[in-house]
Amino acid sequence: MEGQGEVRAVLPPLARRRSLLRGGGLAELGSRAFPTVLIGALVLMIIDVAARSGVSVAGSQLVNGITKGAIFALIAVGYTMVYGIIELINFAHGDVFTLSAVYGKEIGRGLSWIGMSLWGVSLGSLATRGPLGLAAVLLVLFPLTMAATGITGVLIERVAYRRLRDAPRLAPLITAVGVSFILEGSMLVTQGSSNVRTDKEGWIRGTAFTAGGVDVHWADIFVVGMALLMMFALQAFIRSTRLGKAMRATAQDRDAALLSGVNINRTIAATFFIGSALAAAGGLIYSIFFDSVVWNLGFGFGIIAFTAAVLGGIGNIVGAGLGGFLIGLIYVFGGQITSGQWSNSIVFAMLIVVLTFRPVGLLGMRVPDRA
Amino acid sequence: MTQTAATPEPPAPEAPPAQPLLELRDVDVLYGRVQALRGVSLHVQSGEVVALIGSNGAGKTTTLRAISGLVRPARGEVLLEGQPIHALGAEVIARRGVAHAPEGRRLFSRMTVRENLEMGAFSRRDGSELRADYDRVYELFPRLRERSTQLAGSLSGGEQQMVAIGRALMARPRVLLLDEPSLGLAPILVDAIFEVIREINATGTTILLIEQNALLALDVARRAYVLETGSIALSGSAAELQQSEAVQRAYLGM
Amino acid sequence: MERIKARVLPALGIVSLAALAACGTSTTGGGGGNGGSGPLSSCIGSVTVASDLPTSGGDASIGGGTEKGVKLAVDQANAAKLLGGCTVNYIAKDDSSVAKGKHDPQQGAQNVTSLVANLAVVGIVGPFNSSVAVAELPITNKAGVVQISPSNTDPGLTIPGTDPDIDTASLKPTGKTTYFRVISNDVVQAQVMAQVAYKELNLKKVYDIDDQETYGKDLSNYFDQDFAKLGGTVTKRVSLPGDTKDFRPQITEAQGLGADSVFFGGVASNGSGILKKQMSDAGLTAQFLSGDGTVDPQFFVDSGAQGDGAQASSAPDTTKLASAQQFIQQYKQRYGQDVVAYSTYGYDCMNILLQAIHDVLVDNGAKLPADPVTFRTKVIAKVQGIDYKGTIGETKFDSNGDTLNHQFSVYKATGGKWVGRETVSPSAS
Ligand SMILES: Nc1ncnc2c1ncn2[C@@H]1O[C@H](COP(=O)(O)OP(=O)(O)OP(=O)(O)O)[C@@H](O)[C@H]1O
Ligand SMILES: [Mg+2]
Repeated sequence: MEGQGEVRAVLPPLARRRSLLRGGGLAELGSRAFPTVLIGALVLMIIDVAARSGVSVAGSQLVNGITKGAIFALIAVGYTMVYGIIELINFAHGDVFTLSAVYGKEIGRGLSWIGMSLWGVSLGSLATRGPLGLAAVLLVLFPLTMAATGITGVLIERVAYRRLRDAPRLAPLITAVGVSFILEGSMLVTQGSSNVRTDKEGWIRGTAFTAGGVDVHWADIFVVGMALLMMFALQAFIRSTRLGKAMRATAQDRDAALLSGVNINRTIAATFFIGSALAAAGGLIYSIFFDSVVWNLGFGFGIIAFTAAVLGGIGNIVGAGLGGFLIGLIYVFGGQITSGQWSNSIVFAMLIVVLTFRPVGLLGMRVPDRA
Repeated sequence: MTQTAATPEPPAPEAPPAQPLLELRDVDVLYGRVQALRGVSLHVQSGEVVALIGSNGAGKTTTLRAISGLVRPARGEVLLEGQPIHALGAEVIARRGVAHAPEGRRLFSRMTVRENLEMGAFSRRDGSELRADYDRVYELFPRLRERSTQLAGSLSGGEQQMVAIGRALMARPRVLLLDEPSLGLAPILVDAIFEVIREINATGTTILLIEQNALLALDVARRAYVLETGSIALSGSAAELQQSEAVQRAYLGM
Repeated sequence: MERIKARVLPALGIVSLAALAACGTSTTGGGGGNGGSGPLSSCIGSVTVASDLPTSGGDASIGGGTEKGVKLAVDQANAAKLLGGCTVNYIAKDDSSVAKGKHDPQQGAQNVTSLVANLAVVGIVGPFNSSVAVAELPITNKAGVVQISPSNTDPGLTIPGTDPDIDTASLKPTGKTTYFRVISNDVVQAQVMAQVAYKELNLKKVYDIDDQETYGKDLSNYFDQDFAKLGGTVTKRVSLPGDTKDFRPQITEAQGLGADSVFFGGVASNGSGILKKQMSDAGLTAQFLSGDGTVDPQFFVDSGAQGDGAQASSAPDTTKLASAQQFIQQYKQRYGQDVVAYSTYGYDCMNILLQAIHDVLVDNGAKLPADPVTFRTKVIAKVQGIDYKGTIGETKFDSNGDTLNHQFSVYKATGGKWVGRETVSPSAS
C-alpha cells in the first residue's frame, strides 16, 4: 500500500507503462536517449532542408514551423490541463478551438454592428486603421471570445463529464468523442460544410524585418508573441495564485486537495475555463492569421495538439507548450522532406514512439519518484 | 476476541464535557458491496488523544475517511461539536477544522515542501498568524526548514511523513486525524514523531490517531478503540486496554 | 472517385466568353427531321433505348436534369419520325439507391443487368458517375450493348494505366469497345492546361500540389507529364491532405525553388482558394494554375480578392454555345426549368444513339434486324463511326470510345468570378 498514491501522483497512468518497460534495458535506453534523438533528428531535418533548398528557405520554414507550433501549443495546453486534473483525454477540445474561431467571428460581427450603429465604424476598419485601432479591437475581442469559449468549456464539463468523474475511464472518453460530434455537427449545421471567412482579413500585415533572406511578418511575431504571452501568464497563474495552486494540488492528488479544503468542482471548472479560453486565444490568433474556419478544423488540430501534449509530457503545461512548438517544426520540416505526404504520419508515428519509449514525455520526469 | 474483556464505554476519569468534539454514531460504510464499517460509534473529547487500533483491513482508515468526508456513510451520523457533518463535502469539513493526514502521506509530490505546507493552510484566511504557524512546524520538524524549496516527491519517507503532519497542522485544526504516522519509519524517527504528537496535543490540538504499534498508541493516547472487521470490538482508557488480556495477546504481542 | 461532382462546371458565377467559332458551324436542332417520308417510312415495329442516371437522392437535380435532356431527345425523335414507321421506346433507370442516398455502383450494375437481359434494348445512355461506370461496363460489354456516357471523366475508364485504381482491361472483357463518352477526360484537360501554361503564359517552372484525392492526384500527374513533355520543369510535386489549411511551408519551398507557377490538382473544397490567398499574402507572385475542380465559387470564398489572376481549365460552358441555344429553349418550354450542366450532354448522347440506330435501319433496308444480338452489334459499329454535330459541338469517337471533341476553356479569376477565356483544343504533341 505504501507510496502507491505517491507513484500515481508523480506519474500519470500513461506514464505508468514506463514502469512495465523499465525492466527492459533497451526501453530504458530509448527513454533516456529520446530527447537527444528527437532534437538531433529535428536539427538534421533543418540542416537537410538548408543544404538542399538554401538557408533562407530553411529559415522561412523555421518561421512557418514556429508559428504553426504556437497554435498547436495553445491547444495542447488545454489537453494537458484537463488530462492532468481529471485524466481525461478531452477529444472535444479541438472542436472547442474551432468553436472559438466561430465565436470570434460572431462576436466580431456583433461588435461591428454596435460600432456601426454608434460611430459608423466597423471592427475590421478599426482593426486595419493602425496599431492603436488594432490594439483596441484585440483588447475587446480577445477577452470576450475567451470568456465565451471558457464558459462553453465549463458547460461541457458540467453537463457531460462531471457525472462520469468516478466512472471507468472509458465512459468519459466515449462521452468526449460524443461531445466532439455534437460540436462539429452544430458547426456544420450553422456554418455549412465549406470554409467560411472570419472577417479578419488584413488585420495584421506587412513584413517586420528581413534577416538572412527570411521575411518575418508582423503576423508571425503576433502569433508567437501572443502564444508565449498566454503561456507565461498561465504559468504565472498556476504557480502563484490560490486557484492555480488548487489546480496543481487537485491534479497531483485529488483526495489530498479535498482534505486541504480545495473545492474540486470549482477547480475542475476553472481548469476547463482556462483550457478553453486558451484554445480561444489560439482560435482567434488562427483566425487573424488565416481568416478562415471550417466546421471540422479542430479535428486535425486536436489530434496534433494532443500529440504535442503527450510529447511534452501530458499533464505538464510547460511540456505542452514545448511540445507544440516542436511538433510545429517537425510538421513543417518533415513535410518538406517527405513532399507533404507524410506530415500527419510523422506526427502520429511520433505519438507512438513517445508512448513506447517515453510515455512520460520530454518534461514528465523531472521529479524522482521516491515512494 | 469477545466483547467481554473490557467495558464497552468506560466512565472517563474526569467528568466528561457535555458534548464531544467529534462523534460517530452507528456509522456504516460500504465500498460497493464490501461493508467496511458496521455500526461504528465513537467519540473524541476536546483535548484528547484517542487511538484507533486494529489489524489490517479492520476499517481504521475508513473510519477516518468517513470523518473527513472522503467517503460517505451509508448509515449513521458524524457530528462535529454536535453538528452533523457527514453530508458535507470533504473540503467543507476541512474548513471546519478537521485536518486529516492520510494513509500513505499523499503529499503533493510535484510541489515544494513549502507549497505543501501552504496547501495545508489553503482554506485559512487569517494570514497574520500564518507565519507563526510555519515557524511552529519548522520548529517541530527543523529538517523541513532546510528542505523547504525541495520537491516533496524527492524527500525521504520520514521527511515526507513530517511534511504530511506539518501540512495537517497548518490548517490549525481542531481535530487532527493521523493515519499511521509511524509507518515505514526507523524506530528512532518513530519516537521523534510521537514526541511531536505529544507536543501538538500539549498545545491543545485534539488528535484521533491510527497506529499499528498498539504499544506506542496506548502510550500516547488517553483512550482507545479497537476495531475488528468493521466494528468496535473494544474500547476503554489506554490503561485499561493495556491491561486487557485480549489486547495484549492480539496487539501487544505479549 | 466521385470526381464528377467537382466537375459541375457552369456553376453560378461562371461567365463564358467562349469563342464559339470552333463549334459554331453547322448545328442540328433536335433529333433530326430527316425521317418522315425518308428511307425508313416502311419500317414496322419499335426499338427500345434506355438510360441509367442517378435521378433521386443527392444527385437528383443534376442527374434528373440530364435525364430530361435524354428524354427530350427520344420524344423529339418520335415526333419527327426519325425512324420512319418505327417508334422508339424508352426505359429510364435510376442508379441512386436508398442505402447510399445517391448514385450507387451496385444499383447501376443491377440496372444494366436487367436492361441487357431485355433483348429489345439496343443501347443505353449513362452512367453519370465514373464509379458507377466501373461496375456497369463489364456487364454491358459482355452483353454487347452500347453505353454512351454524358459525364464520365475518369481517364481510367478508357485508357489503361491512367488511373491506378481502375483496371481498364477488366472493364472490357470482350476486348471490343462498347463504351463511349461525349465529354473529354482529365488527360485532355491536363494537356490543355499544360499547353496554355507553357506556350501561352510562358511558364517554365511549376510547383505542383495535389489534394491526395484520386481526381487531384491524377490531374496533377497528367499535368506534370505534359508540362515536362513540353519542356517545362516540375520543380517539386507535393501531396497534401484535403484538410490542409496552411500552405505556407509549400509556398516557402516554391519560392526557394524559383517556381514561376503553382499548379493545384484538386477541388476547391480542399483548399485551392486558401492556397491562392496564402500565395498572395506571402508575396509569391507565381501564376496559380488549376483544373476544373477549382472552377467553383468556393474558390473565391477562400481567396477573397486575392483570388484574382488564377487560371484554371474546365470544360466549356455548353449553355453558352450557339449550338445549344435551340435545345435550351425547347427544354425550358417542355419542363419549365433551366437546363442543368449536363442536360446538353445527355441530349447529345441519346441523339447519337438514335442516329446510330437510324443508320443501322437504313443499311438494313428499313427493317429491324431479326437477331437482337446482330442489331446491338451493328448499333455499336455505327456509334463508333458517328460524326454528330449536336449541342455540345461535333462528336466523333476514337477507338477507345473517347470523344475527339477536346475542347476546354481556360477560366481566369477576375473580380471574384471565373471568366471563361476561350476554348482550347490540345495541339498534337
Ligand atoms: N476503495 C475501496 N474499495 C473497496 N474496498 C475497500 C476500499 N478501501 C478499503 N476497502 C476495504 O475496506 C476494508 C477496510 O479497509 P481500511 O483501509 O479501512 O482498513 P485499515 O484498517 O485501515 O487497514 P490497514 O491497517 O491495512 O491500513 C478492507 O477490507 C478493505 O479491503
Ligand atoms: Mg489503513
